Amino acid sequence: MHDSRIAEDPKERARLLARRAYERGRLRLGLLPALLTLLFTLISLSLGREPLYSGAIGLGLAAIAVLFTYRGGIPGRAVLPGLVAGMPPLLFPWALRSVGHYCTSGSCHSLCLLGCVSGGLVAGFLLGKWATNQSARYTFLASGGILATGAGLLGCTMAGAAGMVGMSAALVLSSVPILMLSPTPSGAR
Amino acid sequence: MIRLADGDRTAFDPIFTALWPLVLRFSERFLADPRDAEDAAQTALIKLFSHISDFDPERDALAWALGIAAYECKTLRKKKQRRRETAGEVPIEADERAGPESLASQRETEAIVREILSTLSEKDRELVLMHMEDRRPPGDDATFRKRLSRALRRFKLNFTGGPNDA
Repeated sequence: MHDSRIAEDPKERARLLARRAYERGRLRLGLLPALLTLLFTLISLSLGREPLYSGAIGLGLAAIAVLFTYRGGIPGRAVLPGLVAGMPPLLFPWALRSVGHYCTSGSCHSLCLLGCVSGGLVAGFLLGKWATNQSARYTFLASGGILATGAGLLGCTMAGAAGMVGMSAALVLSSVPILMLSPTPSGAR
Repeated sequence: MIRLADGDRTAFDPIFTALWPLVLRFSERFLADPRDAEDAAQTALIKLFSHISDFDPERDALAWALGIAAYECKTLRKKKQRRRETAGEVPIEADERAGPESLASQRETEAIVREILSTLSEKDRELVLMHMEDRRPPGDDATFRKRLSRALRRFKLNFTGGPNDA
């Protein structure tokens, strides 16, 4: 609509301003997830990760979280669960880093790797359980999974590529079967 | 409302279209000046849509919207009252000891008087205000009385909705 007409018609002016206020409100909603991702990035930096690497992943994670929250719908609903589910793969390696290595049958492995895989399993389990209550459960799982993986990557870099791949694979392997095996509840949102 | 709170933009227009006339009419009952009512309704809807993501589905959506509108009307009314007082306009005193109904009626009369004053020409308005404040200009008293009498006649006609009302 033409600007001069908007200025003249009080209803159209109110509609335009209300719409802008709505969009601003949606953006404001993304502040909490953005702050969470900032916290995750700081944890990653405290693990001694390369600042550039942690910064890039943290920034990407924050952008996705804000975008999903702003757009709303199923991806918007998956933001906080996704970030919460991403905490185990972020924190487990951090908690195990002081332990060092474990050795079985002649070979030694980093406990960080174990922390990443087990963190991924817990994240997948949590997301799978939460997704069962949603109507678009796979969209919810994919959206939450992206965020959980991003958060996990911030912690699992210390276990190298194997840790990152192991965490991602564990997340998928523990979440998808839960969804496949559970029936869709009638009151799903 | 729930859909919009969840980010479904297609729900914006139907909700706005449904709420605007209701909130506007509600504000018009609160405020005598239709422009003020429009401002209050606009501000109320801006606030409502800005915080709609926090909307609680258990709540009555209309009651929520009208609650915000009522708050905006009260705020606007207070703001105008304060502006009038700081501008040194003649306050049409409401007796604070009177009951709430009487007080509301006095406030309504005040608003009507101010509205009619705003329809008069600047000269007439100045004369009527001088008369209300019991002031007299220096100079010819007879001319002043003649002009005041004409201004008061126009004021009364506007007040009673007479032929000069248009």
